[in-house]
Amino acid sequence: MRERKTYLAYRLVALLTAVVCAIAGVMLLLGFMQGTILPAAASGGRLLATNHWGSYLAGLTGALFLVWSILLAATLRDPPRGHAIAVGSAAGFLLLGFVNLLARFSGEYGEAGGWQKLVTTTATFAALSLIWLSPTEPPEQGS
Amino acid sequence: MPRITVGRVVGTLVCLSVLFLNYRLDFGRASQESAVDDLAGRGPRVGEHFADFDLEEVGGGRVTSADLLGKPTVLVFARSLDWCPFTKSFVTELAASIGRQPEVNVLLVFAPNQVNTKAIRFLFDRGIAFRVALDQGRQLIERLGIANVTIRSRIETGVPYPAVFVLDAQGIVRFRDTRRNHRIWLAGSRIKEELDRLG
Repeated sequence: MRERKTYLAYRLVALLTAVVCAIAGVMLLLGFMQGTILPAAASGGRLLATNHWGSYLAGLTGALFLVWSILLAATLRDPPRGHAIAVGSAAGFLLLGFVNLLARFSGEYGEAGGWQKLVTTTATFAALSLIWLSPTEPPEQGS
Repeated sequence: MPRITVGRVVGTLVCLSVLFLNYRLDFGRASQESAVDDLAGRGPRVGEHFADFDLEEVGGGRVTSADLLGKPTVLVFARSLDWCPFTKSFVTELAASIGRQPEVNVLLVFAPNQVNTKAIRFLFDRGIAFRVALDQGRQLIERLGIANVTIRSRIETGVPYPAVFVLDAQGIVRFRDTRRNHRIWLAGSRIKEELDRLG
């Protein structure tokens, strides 16, 4: 019988990523609702300074972030079965880092200062962690 | 080599490339405190009267050199707020340094083909209240000798070399900065310093 690995490091990275994605998803959805459904007086300060189309895109992105969070959380129970999700997440983080690079290069977000550099660095290290820590062995039969 | 190892190596190389670009991107583009005068001998020198002009202003009307008398003026000749990241960085920095000072005129001058809705939105969305003028026929740009003749793509058609002139209330040039390299721009804090010197 094969010894069952715990994949503790991978689980920690996946859990952290899932939590961050869930928070981002909730914030974006809240921003969408503040911009569209909630009355201005009751919703307090606006999370997103954007127009109605920006709110709409934020709502869709928030929903995708929540789905991503749920998928990652689902891999925690049986990491080998979630290998494809880990690879997909790594690709997602890489793309996020690259888009952020383009945004910084465009000169449109000068107000952000060094934040965009930090976001790209964080996303790339998250991708590297998922690439190297995700399980590579096939899941046990019948598990 | 197992497929999974190849995937990991390729993934790592892509990650390292993104990290490299992330830290390499700042190289060759930055603001600079010290003035540069790559086009010395062209346009008015420090101490001379700035050439008279009459330009079309975005938003309606015209702006002339006479309109700007009575207050210090920052006259900026820039490439584009549509597609040029360096112009965007420069204007953002200038706005942060100068802020809203009713006692100072700031006039951005562009070639007419470089101003469109997106460029105006760039200023509007950030609350930047600089005046924007179009140099129809590039008459002023040509007269000052700052037309960029080394453009590398069609999108750059008509752009000037980046140039900044600080004029006093009488329209006399008190400071000038002209650059062939648009990737390095004059720091907004330096322009603010020159304005403070004018009182």
